[in-house]
Amino acid sequence: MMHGDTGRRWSVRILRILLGAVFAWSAVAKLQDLSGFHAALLAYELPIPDRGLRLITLFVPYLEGILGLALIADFWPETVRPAVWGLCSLFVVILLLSAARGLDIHCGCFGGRGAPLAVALGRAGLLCVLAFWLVLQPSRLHASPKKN
Amino acid sequence: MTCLRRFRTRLMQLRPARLLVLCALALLAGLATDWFSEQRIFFPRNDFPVFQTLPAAGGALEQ
Repeated sequence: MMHGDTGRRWSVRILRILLGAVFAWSAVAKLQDLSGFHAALLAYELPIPDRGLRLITLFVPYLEGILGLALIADFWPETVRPAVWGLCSLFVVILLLSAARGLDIHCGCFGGRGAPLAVALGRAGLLCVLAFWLVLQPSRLHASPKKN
Repeated sequence: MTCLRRFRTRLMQLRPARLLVLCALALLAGLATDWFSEQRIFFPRNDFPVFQTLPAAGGALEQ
């Protein structure tokens, strides 16, 4: 039982750092080319006015960066983990809608043009599943006090 | 079923105030970066030429 518990704790830690690094990397890549990210967002043809899209262009990379760093540091886990899952789910929904509308675009997830839609959808789906699993795991805040 | 119930429990433990703080931080950081950057996205620089009324030759500018 003890080994299982230790193994689970380690897998949570590794996954937390991995997901956090992916988010941080995505943020840095977007911040290096904000105009490119804005262009990628425009290609999604979302029903959002340009002014709103520009705000999202500035907001999303920083949110990803903050969430990524918070995930790595295990800061406010009861809030950060569901927020990461929510953001991944939002990406999946937007990519699914774009695929359903038959848009031939590149995601722009990691700066530049990004991956084709199908690849991006698979990647976002995987991240979403991993984030879901991470939400289910008890964090240090949920850990019960040790018995002597 | 247990999994979904546990997930729901975890979602209920989310603290909206903390989420709001994170979102506000991200928004402020984004806007501040844009304000001080060369290629502004949200606060575009006024690139249009500024037209000024010049006084006619030999005459004073109308008030």
